[in-house]
Amino acid sequence: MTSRIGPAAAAVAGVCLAAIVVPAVGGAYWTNVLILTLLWVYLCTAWNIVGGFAGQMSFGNAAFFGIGAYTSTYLAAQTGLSPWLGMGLGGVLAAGAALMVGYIPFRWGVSHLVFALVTLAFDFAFLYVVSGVGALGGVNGLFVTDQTPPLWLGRLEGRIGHLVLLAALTSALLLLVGWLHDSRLGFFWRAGRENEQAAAAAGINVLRVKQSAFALSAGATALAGSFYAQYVGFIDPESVFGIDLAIQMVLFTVVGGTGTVVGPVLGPALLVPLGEVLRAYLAGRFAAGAHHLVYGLALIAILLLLPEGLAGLADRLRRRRRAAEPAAALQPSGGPHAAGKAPRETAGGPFLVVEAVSKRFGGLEALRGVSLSVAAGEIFGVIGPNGAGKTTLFAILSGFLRPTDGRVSLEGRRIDGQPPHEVCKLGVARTFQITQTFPRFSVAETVLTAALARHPEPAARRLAERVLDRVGLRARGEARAASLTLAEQRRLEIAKALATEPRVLLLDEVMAGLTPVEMDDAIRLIGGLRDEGMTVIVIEHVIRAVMRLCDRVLVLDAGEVVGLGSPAEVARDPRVIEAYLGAPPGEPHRSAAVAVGEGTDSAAARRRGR
Amino acid sequence: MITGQLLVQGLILGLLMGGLYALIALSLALVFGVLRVLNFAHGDLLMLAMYGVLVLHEAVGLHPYWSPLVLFPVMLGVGLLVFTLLIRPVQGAGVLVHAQLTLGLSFVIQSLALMVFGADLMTVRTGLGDMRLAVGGVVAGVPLLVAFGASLLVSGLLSWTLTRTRVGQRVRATAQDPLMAGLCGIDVPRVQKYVFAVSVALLAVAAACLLTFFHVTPTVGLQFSVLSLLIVVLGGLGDLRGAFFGGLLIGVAEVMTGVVFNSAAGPAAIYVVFAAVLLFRPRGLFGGGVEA
Repeated sequence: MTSRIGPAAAAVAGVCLAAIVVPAVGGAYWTNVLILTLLWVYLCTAWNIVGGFAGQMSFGNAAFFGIGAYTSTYLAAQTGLSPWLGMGLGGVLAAGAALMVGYIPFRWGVSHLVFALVTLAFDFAFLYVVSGVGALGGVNGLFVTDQTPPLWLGRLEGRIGHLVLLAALTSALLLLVGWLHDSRLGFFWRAGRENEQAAAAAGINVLRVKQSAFALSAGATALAGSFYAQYVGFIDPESVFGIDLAIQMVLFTVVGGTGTVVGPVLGPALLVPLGEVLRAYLAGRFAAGAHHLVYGLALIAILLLLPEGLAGLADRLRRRRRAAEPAAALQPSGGPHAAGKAPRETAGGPFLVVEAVSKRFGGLEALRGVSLSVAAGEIFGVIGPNGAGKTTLFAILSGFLRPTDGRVSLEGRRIDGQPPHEVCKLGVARTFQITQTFPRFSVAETVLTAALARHPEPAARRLAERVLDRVGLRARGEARAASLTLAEQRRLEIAKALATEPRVLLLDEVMAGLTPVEMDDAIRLIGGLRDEGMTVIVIEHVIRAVMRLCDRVLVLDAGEVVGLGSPAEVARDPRVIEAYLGAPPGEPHRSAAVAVGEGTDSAAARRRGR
Repeated sequence: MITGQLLVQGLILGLLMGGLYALIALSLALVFGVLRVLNFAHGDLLMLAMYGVLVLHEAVGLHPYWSPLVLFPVMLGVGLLVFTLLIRPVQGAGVLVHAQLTLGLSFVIQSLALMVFGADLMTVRTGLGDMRLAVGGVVAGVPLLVAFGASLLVSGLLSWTLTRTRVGQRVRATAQDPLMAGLCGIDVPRVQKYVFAVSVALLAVAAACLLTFFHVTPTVGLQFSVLSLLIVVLGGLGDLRGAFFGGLLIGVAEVMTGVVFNSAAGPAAIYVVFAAVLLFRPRGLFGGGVEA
């Protein structure tokens, strides 16, 4: 995690410098261009909070801009309310509107595209509603009644006063964003963007995280709307709710580089003056179209050639330089086995209890009346052929699915039906069968994300380091998660789960595809965790691992429990053998343990080959 | 004030308008179904075709209804060009990148049109625009009826091609699982390229129908892009039947809100309805779409 206060401070310095130099050198025209540019820098920085950091493409920000513009203007005209207060009120209204618009899409986890279109519809709805409301001036718009109230930096002359105010607003927003980017919240934003499921499994309340980004972005955007109304002196629905506004926020930010702090500064700083110059120097109908043409071409060129935007270019250069330097020495810290908490006494009583859990997906019954009880400090195995419902069971235990019937409780406390991040907080952590990573995070950042869900930054960092030590990934901390080997990815999955400080660890096929040596390492790691007091439930196809690790094994077949007992007992159970191999008539059963082992090993081998 | 007859009139007009929307949206749905690309420049390509109809009429006096003979191949070429230069390189980059890229394309087409044709409203005067059919007090313009007929014809043809021919078989296989289709020996990139091109070319038909009673400006494209996006999502992404009925629904909703509210706020109802349907049926009207 590189510090972004640096880029933010640099951007602020640029803004301030421009605000001083341009009016002195360029005169009224260039000051106007600068104000327009800064307005876009501000709007894009605000959009980037939701569109870049949280990764949700919002077209609704034009509506928030309009809400800000209309709130301050209308209230000033009707009640004489100071535009300053109107500005603040507009910000609050817009943030509230964002919370309402975002609630259902975020709650239900709809796709990015659906969110984009819902916000687009929201924007259009505002455009037409405001156009139709006579009290708001309808399509004719509103004039700003008093453009220079005393608090509105009235002492500075018109244009310069506005420039100073806007530069201050922009600087403040940039510093806020630079700080938030590295804060816990900013980290959660990006984690949710990179991989929602993994973020939820790490204990992050994804709904609240996205809502906060959307509301903050909306509130900030509305402030600019009030400013715009004061500056221009006239607003109408097309100019403050227009869809072009929403599109250009996306466009400039993407050109600059979404999800970075400087991107939303670079994009408008390059394109807005360019467009204005073209508009000024070309005559007639060419002038009207030229700036949009340039914007469109710039966007296409960036997406095809430099998908990370202008900021990505700078980043790429920096990374190349860093790669040339020798890697910094890693500092050792903490004991090698300091992960987790002090070993808990294994009471032996029921710890995690599943009672008669069923799960139906439409007509398909994935689980039917499954009951089990896991003691504290136990390693409990779940085996069964493909489609037996093992992963569904895990999804229910970890809160990703709600059971149709039955209940799950941890130490007597009911946990089924709770959202994943709550279940995680209660102490159940899971890994995923298909490694879920945050593609653009380093290994250390990934683990830190999980640690941050419970702890403030310094403690979280220490915890993350301990966990990385524990799973033996310390040396790979700076690598991107996507560049790890399969065995390392599995360790990272386990590390992510451990960093939430669970009491129950759910491991979904962490052995599949590993070489025998890697598997021995994994078995040692899991056994070690149990020795430290962890309760572990594993889904595993590799029977050798199940035999060596598990205290008890549950066998699922077609959603039902067909066997439960020690590994040796289960391996001899004819029902289990039948579930795995079928019972060919006339062919005598071979030694059960061997048969089961062979059957599933070849299943694992098939998967490996795929 | 709002009489029953007015409502029936609105319903009929809405259905006719909706038929045309369905035609426009159908090709967008087809592209999404087969390529998983949502084209935000769809309406702008339509606008381009409309200017084509206009130019052919002004320059050589070609009647709009004959213009698809020329414009279909031209738009096919435009489609091939757009696909090869823009869509192919970002395939697999995610829907948001497609959306952003085609938004850029939309800006480019729009501003080029503005530079070449100016911002004035333009239309084709054929005399057809004033002809009306009246049945039992319900009046419908002839151009709109022709448009509805053309929409039914093209939709039927498309549906027949997809379900009854070998080409259609390949297209449907590609839509269901490009990897599988490739393994079965289907040249998937080629199928995708031509599906995109044909969907753009079909806009020539829509443009010819539209321009006899509607106007064209450089900004009209965005309007149609958004409308057809709404329809496609409403119908369920990639669901052609859904797109057709989504088109009718939006057409009726648009005209009826105009009749009932009779104010500038009327169109807002469409977006409210859209957002509501989308939130509660994220897979579209018939639940047949994919989750984007």
